[in-house]
Amino acid sequence: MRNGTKESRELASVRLDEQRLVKMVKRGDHAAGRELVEKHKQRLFAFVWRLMRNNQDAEDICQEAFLKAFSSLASYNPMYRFSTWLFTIAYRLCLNNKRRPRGFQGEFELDNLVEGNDSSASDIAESEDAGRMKDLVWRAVDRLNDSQKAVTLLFYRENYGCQEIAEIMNLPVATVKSHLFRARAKLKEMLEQAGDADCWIRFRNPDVAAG
Amino acid sequence: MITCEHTKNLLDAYLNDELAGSMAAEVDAHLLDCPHCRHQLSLLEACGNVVRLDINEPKISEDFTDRLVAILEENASPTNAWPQLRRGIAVATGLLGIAAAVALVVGFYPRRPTQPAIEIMPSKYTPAQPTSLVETVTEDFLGWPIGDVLDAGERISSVIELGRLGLIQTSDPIDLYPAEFNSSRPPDTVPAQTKPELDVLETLPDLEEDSEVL
Repeated sequence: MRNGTKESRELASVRLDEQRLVKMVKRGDHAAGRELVEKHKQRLFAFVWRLMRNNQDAEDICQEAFLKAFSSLASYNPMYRFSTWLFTIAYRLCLNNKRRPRGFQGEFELDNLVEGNDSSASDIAESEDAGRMKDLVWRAVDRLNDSQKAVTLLFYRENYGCQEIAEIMNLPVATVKSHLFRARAKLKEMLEQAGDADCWIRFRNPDVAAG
Repeated sequence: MITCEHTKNLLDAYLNDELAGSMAAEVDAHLLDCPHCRHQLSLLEACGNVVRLDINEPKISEDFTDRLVAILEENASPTNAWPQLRRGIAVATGLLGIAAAVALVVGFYPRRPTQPAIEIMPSKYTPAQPTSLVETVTEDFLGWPIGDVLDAGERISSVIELGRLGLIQTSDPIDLYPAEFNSSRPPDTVPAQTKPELDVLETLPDLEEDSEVL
């Protein structure tokens, strides 16, 4: 469960800072633009990468999203977070990119096998179970459809509420909740099946269970 | 006390922080007593925690920001203002061209003249009433000198015609300004400078007998 009060204060602070930077960028301050990019680039890239599963495509989309966001600052509504607007643009670019006919798929599939780099945010040595659980969860996330995947990432990774996700994805709130419900059900089912599979393996191979 | 079925249906809202305080407390109370529902909640929370906390994506390129800012600066540079200026010039040129084309069409359009474009000046010369050559000759024969009736050019033409018609002898000298004719006109009214050339009369052929008489 989330801590509403602390997050609200943090969000308010982030929003004020964003609005200040956006105003400066509107006045042509390139240093403020650089700061905005630095604040959002990795999170945006991570989100896009999870959808596209391709490094080059993800960077191209991120670049295009920033350029579009900066070029249309006049129409940016300060009621919303800049990141909300940025993710909205990026999500639509991802969908457009996925709808385009693709040529050679081999490289794309190869990149799919690359789970990421070795640098992890955790300093604690990871147990085998924890690692396996993460692997299972991400494999399950990869098997979600685009809408369910986007809702899951925006909700958990970016900490957006259902209302904001609905604006980003241009969906009704009820549809967003439905996607989230189904995504959770699928993730849970995969973990449960993996747990059952483990029991079956231990039953057939007591040596593995003992080891 | 809510049941497992109730709790199962409420878990999503519970995870979304959407339950009212009293309902959230009911779910908490049930979870304390129900291992099955606790297990279900743990699975969901584990999935959410992995997605939230496991930052496992590749890093974006280190020069991403530099490249992006370079593009932004290039787009904002004065040289890139040229496309807008060119666009403005193109639009203005197009409008001028349209205006010129319209002016050209209007200028060359043959309008129906409501009045003559060039004012026709009333002639200072009142053409003489057309008279037949016979009448002219008759008058002259009656005594009116030819030179008093016609101007120099017409006199010559008339004399030539008269010779052709055989009405006068071309070999005879013709004094176009005979003073002894009985004319009401004073002889000195004929200006001397209008005296015609007479040489041409000597070149006329004689009329043949079957020539037509006008």
